[in-house]
Amino acid sequence: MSPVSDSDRTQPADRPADRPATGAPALRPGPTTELTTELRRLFAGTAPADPEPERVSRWKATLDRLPPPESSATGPSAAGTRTRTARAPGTRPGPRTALPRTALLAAALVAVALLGYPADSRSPGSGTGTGTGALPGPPGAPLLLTRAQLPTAAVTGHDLGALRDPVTRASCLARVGEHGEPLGGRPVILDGTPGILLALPTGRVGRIRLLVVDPGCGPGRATVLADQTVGR
Amino acid sequence: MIRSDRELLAAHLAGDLGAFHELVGRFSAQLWRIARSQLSSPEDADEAVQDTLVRAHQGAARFRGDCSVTTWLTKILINVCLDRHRHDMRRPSVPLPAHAIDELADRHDRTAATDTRLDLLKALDSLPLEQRLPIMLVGMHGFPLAEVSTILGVPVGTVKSRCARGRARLQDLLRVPTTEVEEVAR
Repeated sequence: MSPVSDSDRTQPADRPADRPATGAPALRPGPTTELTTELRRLFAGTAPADPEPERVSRWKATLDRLPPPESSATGPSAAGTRTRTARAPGTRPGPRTALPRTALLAAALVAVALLGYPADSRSPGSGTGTGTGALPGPPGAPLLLTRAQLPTAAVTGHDLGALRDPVTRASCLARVGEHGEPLGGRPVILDGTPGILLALPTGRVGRIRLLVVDPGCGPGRATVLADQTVGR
Repeated sequence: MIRSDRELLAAHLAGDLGAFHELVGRFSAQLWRIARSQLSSPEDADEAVQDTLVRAHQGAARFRGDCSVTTWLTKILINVCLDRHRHDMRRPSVPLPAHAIDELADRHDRTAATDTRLDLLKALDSLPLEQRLPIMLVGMHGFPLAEVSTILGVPVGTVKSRCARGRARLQDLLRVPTTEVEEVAR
């Protein structure tokens, strides 16, 4: 245990001082006040061995592949104050650990939701009412579209372009007030300006926030080129 | 400068990429020992610790600060282990498997002390989970009763009574007169 650990544990069973010279336990009836000492004496020497260094390295490598943690806006407080959104310690920390499956499902829902809108409600300014109006371009190329066409842009892929890096993406989203993962995205040329279109959940089924940020969005800056919420 | 557990957690949330690794360095051994004592296979324990670390890494912002970081991590781990128990209906009481006992015994001199410890672990496995958990946390892993109360989400008095009932049950199961055991210990 670290000397600066916050734990108030004073008699860990793995400390040599707590161990008797021999390992055989003895059961003694006794008052409840002696319970802790009695149990520690009883189980002296039974704690499993420490993990192998390779195992710990593997755990750390797994952590290195994770996206940044959720927002620190409700983060740990040295003063121990509770935040409105805090959960009980040890509770399952939300959907991020199950991100791939959730993201795939949600991306599919986005595509269905966006493609399923009546033409005139999808694109009030497009005038055609027959389709997206956006120019798809060659595969892998940015989608060419105007602001008026933005609500019609079906975000069926998950090509986040310059925001592929999770750390950069999280920093960018944090700067625009978002802390979740995009449901989908793709590079676009919006009214002639390169950007990354992100489809973000709003917390309401069938309602999506479409955000276009500049490709350099990250820790240092975040320029929002377009921001529209579409859906029911 | 050596940082406290809470400072490391805050630094992790602020983007310090090494802060959580430092916490892992501090607590991985403890989490591993608890997982090994709760789950019968090293593979299950490995996954449980990894799952715990992932949850803590991603959910660090949800740490409320009303308990220590080690208590928070242990509570996550216990919940992970309980989830695994619930999904493993074949072993609802999570006994230490017989082959594990035999393997353990075969690797050691079969001294009286070793035999007694193995008997103790067997007896412990036969306790209901609600008694086994607090007994393990207090006796094997050295947690104070108050921390066990936080980890398990029950009052301290309940932890005490469960430990006391479990201890009495162990005494009954082992059926070893105190004087006899103490002679073995000498």
